[in-house]
Amino acid sequence: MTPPLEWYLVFSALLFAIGVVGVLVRRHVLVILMSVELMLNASNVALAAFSRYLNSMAGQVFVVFTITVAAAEAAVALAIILALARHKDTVDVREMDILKD
Amino acid sequence: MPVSWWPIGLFFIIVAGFAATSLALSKLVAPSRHNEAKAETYESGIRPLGEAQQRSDIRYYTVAMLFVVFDVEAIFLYPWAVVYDRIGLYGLIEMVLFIVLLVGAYLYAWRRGALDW
Amino acid sequence: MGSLFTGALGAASVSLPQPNLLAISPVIALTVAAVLVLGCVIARPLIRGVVYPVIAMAGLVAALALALIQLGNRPVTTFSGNWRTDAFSLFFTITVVIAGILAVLISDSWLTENDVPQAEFYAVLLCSVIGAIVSASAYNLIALFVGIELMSVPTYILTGFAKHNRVSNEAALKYSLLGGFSTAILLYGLTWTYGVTGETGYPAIRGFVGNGQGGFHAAVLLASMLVIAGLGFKIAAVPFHMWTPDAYQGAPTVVTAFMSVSVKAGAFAALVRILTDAFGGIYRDWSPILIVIAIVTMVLGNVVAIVQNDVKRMLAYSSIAHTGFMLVGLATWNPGNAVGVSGVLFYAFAYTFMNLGAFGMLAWLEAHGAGTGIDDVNGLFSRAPLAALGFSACLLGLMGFPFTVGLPAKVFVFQAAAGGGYVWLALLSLLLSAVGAVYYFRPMVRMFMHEPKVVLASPRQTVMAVGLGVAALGTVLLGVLFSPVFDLAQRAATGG
Repeated sequence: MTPPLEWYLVFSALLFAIGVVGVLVRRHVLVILMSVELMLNASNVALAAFSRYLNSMAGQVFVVFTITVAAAEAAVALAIILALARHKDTVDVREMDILKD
Repeated sequence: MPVSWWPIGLFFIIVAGFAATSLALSKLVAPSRHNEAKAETYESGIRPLGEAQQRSDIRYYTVAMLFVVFDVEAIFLYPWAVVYDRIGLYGLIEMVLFIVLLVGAYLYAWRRGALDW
Repeated sequence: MGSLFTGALGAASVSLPQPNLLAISPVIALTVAAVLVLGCVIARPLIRGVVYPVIAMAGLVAALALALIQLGNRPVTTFSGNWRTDAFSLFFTITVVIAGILAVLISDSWLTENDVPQAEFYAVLLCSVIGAIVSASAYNLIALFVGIELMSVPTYILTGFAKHNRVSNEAALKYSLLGGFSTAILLYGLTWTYGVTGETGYPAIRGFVGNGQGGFHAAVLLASMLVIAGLGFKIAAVPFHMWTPDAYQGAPTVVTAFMSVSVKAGAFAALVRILTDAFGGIYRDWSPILIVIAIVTMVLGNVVAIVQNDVKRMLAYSSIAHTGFMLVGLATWNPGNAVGVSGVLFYAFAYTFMNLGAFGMLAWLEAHGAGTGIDDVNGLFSRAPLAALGFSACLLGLMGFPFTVGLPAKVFVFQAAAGGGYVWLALLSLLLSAVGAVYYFRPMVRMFMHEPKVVLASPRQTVMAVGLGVAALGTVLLGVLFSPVFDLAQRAATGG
C-alpha cells in the first residue's frame, strides 16, 4: 500500500509552514537560513510526490535543479554571514541595524 | 503489500523491546553510587580537557562549501549516466561542456587559494 | 523535458531535440565572456591590466548584437519548449544587456580605486545578466526558476562586494535571506502549478488552466498567488519590499545602479510572461490583486521617499514607486488589451537609462569624495555643470517630465489603464507621480541654488563619464525619439 498523495502534500505544507514561521520568528541568522532550506525542501517533497502520482518525470528533474540552486544559495548566504561575523561578533539579526529608517 | 512488511515491524518491536528491557533491568538490579569522576564527560579513560564547544578553523568552511557545491553539481551526472548510451554524441558534448565548466570553477578555486591549507 | 526523460526510461531510443543555437546565442556570448574572465584568474601570471572589463564589455556588446540581429525573426521555441526567443524576450534581453554595459562603464573606477577583486565582479555581473535573459526567455517553470535564481544569487554577492564594509555586509545578508525566502515562496508556487496541471511548459499550463472554469481552481489560484508573491519580492512590490531600501542603500552604489534596473527588468519579464501566458486565462482572478498591490506600492514608495534625507535611500523608495507604476500596466492586462504590457516593456527600457543614470551619478559623487546625503549635492552645478545637468536629466526622467523618456513611459502605462476601463486607477497613478516631483526636485534645487558644502576631489573618470553620458543622453533622446522603441515594445507585447 502506498500512502495517498494527500499525506505527502500535508507533510510538505507543514514543512513549508514551519519554515515560514522560522524565518519570521527566529532571530539567529543560521536558523533563518535553515528555515529557508526547510521551505525549499518542502517544495522538493511535493515535487517528488507529484512526479510519482502524475507519472511525469518533470517533477524529479525540477527537484534536481532545486537542490543545486539551494546549495548555491546556501553557500552564498553562509559566505555573507561569515564576512559579517568577522566585523561584528554576532549572528543575531536584531543587532544588524545599521540600515534602517 | 502491507503483509510483506511485517518482519520489519517485528524487527523494530524487538529492538525497542530489547533496549527498554535492558535499561529497565539495569535500573532495577544495579546499585547506584554517584561520584564526581562518574559525572565527567567520558573520554575513553582520559581526563577531559578544555571546552566541548570549540571554534573550528574558518578554512574548514571554504573546503566544506566547495564540497557542497561540487557534490551537488554531480547529481546532474546521474540522469545523464542512466541514458547516456541512448542520447549519443549530442548528450556527450553537453556533458563534456558541463564538466569543462566545473573543472574551470575548480581551477579557479585552486588558483584563488581556496585549497591552500 | 518531462516527455524527454520519460521516453528515455521507457523506450529504447531517444530523439534529443536539435537546439536552435542562434536563439540562445546572447547567453552563449555572455557565458563565454564570464568563463574567460575567470580563466584570466587561472592564467594570472600571464595576464594583467585592464583585460577584465574589456572581456566583459566584448561579451555584452556581442550579446547585444546577437539579440539585435534576431529582432526581425519569427518566434523560436527550442530546447524541448523550455526556451522561447521572440520579440518579448529579445526586448528584455536588449534591456538587461544595455544595463550590463552601462554598469560595466560606471563601475570601472570604483573597482580600481577600492581594491576589490575585479575578475569576480565582472563574472558575477555577467552571470546576473545571463539569469535575467533566461528569466525573460523561459517558457517552462524549471527554466524560469533557474533563470530567476541565476539572476538573484549573483546580486547577493554583488551587494556584499565591499567585503570590508559592514554596511555592505549587512545589506547583503538581509538581501540574501529575504531573497532566499522569496525564492522558496516562488518555488512552492511553481510546485503547485506543476502539481495541479501536471505540466511545466507554459502553453500546456495555459491549456489546462483554461479560463478558470475547470477543476482545481482553488489550487491554481493558490499557485498563482504564491508566484506573484515570490516574484513580487524580486520586483520590490509592497508588501514584499522590506529588503529594498536596505539592500539598495547598503550595496556599493554601482551595484545598486545595476541591480535596481536589471533584476527588476528580469523579474518583470518573468512575471509578465507567466501571468499573461500560463495564467492568462484567469486574469480576472489575478488582475484585482495586482491592482491592489500596484496602488499600495505606488503610495508607499512615493510617500516614504519624500521624508528621506539620503539621496540613495530616496532613490531606493522611488524605485519601489516605479514598480507600482509598472504594475499598473500589467494589472490592467486582458487578452484584448495588451497595450499595458507594451507600456511595461517600454517603461523597463526607459527605466534602465534613467535609474542607472541617477544611481550612477551618486557613484560619481562618491568617486569624487562626496557622500550620498542630500547636502552632498549642494551646489553641484557650480562645481561640475555637466554632472549636475546629467543628474537632473535622470531625475526629471524619473519624475516623468516632458522631453525625457519618463513621460512617454508613464503616458503609455496610464493610457493603457484608462483604455482597459480603469480611468480612476490612471488618475490615481497620475496624482501619485505628481507627488514624485516633490522629492525629485529637492536634490535638483540644492544642486542649482545652494552653496557647495562638500569640496569635490577631481580624479579623471573618463570611462564612468561615458557611461553616465550615455544614460543621461538616452533619457533625453528617447524622450523625443521614443516611437521606434515603443513600436518594438508593442510588437513584443502582442506576441510578434
